[in-house]
Amino acid sequence: MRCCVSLCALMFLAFPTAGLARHTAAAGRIKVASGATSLVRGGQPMAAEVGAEIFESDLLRTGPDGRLSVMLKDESRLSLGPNSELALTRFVYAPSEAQLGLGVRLARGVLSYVSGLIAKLSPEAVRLETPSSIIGVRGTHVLVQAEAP
Amino acid sequence: MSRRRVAIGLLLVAVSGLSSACHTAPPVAAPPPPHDLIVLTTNPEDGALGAATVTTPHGSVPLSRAGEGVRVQLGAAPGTPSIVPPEEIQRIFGETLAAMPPPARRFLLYFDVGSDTLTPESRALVPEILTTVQTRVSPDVSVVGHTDTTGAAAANVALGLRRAGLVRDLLIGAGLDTRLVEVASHGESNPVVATPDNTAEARNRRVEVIVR
Repeated sequence: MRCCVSLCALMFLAFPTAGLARHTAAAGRIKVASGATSLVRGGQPMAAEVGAEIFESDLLRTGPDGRLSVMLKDESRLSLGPNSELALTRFVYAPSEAQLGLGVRLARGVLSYVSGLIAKLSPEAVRLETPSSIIGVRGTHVLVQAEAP
Repeated sequence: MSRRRVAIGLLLVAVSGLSSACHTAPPVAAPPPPHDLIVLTTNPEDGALGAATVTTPHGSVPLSRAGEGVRVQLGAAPGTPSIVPPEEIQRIFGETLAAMPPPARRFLLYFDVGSDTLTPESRALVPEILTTVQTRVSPDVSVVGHTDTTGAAAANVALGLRRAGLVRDLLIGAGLDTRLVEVASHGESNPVVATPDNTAEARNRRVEVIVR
C-alpha cells in the first residue's frame, strides 16, 4: 500500500501535468493570426498559429503589426489589435454542472470582445479587467483600450 | 553689493528661462494622462446591444447605450460616460474589429417523438453543416445534446449525451472529420424555452451542432 502511494507520488512528480490534464480541456482556438504574435503557456513561449488551441492561464501577445483572434468554446470571440497583451485568467464551461466562468485581463493594447454562452447563461460569471478597471458584461460587444500603466 | 549682483543675475536667468519656456511651449494642449477606454457597442452581426458596468476601487458606472464609452485613469473613479463618435471608434479599434472571426453557426436538430431518428427537416440540414465546416478557418464542431425538464437532471444529461452521440455518428458517416468533433450534453440546463421543472417541451429536446 505504502509502495503504491509512493509510486503515485513519484508518478505525479514525474508527470506533474498528467493528473491535471483531465480537468483542463482547451478553452478555444486561434482563428486569426497575422504579424508578430505569441502565446505563452506556463512561462514557455509557443507559436500563436491559426488553429492552435488556447487554455486557461494562457497569455496572448501581439507586436506593432500583430493581430490575433480567438473563438472560445462558449462561442465568445476575442480579437487583439497591435501592441497588446491579454491573459485568459479563467475559463470554466460546464453548463450541465452549472460551472461557468470567463476571466480576461487586458494588460495593454486593444481588445474587441463579443460575448458567448457564458455571458448568456450567467452574466455575473464574466469579468474583463484592465489595469484600472473591472468590467462586468451582460453582453454583447465591448471594446477595450488599455493604456493606464 | 556682491550679494545684490548675484540676486540680479539670478533674476535675469529666471526671466530668460521663463521667456524661453514660453517660446518652446507646444501650441497644442498636453496629451491626456494614460487612461483605459471601455466602449459598449452593438453586436457586429445582429445589432444586439447588451450592457456593461465599469468598476474601480473608487466608483462604478453603467454603460447601456450603443457607442457609450468611459475613460478611466489608474487609481481614480471612472469618468463620465459619453457617446464615442464612430470615427474615433474606427481610429482606435478599426484594426482589431477587422480581425474578428465570424460568429459560430448553430444548427438545431430534432428527433421524431419517442425515437432515435432525426426528423426529415433536421436530417436535411446535414449537407449544410458539412459545407459550413468546409468554409471555416481551422474549424471545430461541438455536438451538444439538450433535453426538456421532464425527469431527473442527471438522467437528462445522460439522455442528451446519447442523442448527441447519434448525431455525431451521423455527421461522421456523412464525411465529417472525426478529429474536429466534440460531443457534450447540457442536459436540461440550457433550454431554448424556459419552463418550470418537469415540463415536457418539444422545442427543448434537441441536439445543437455548433460550427466554430
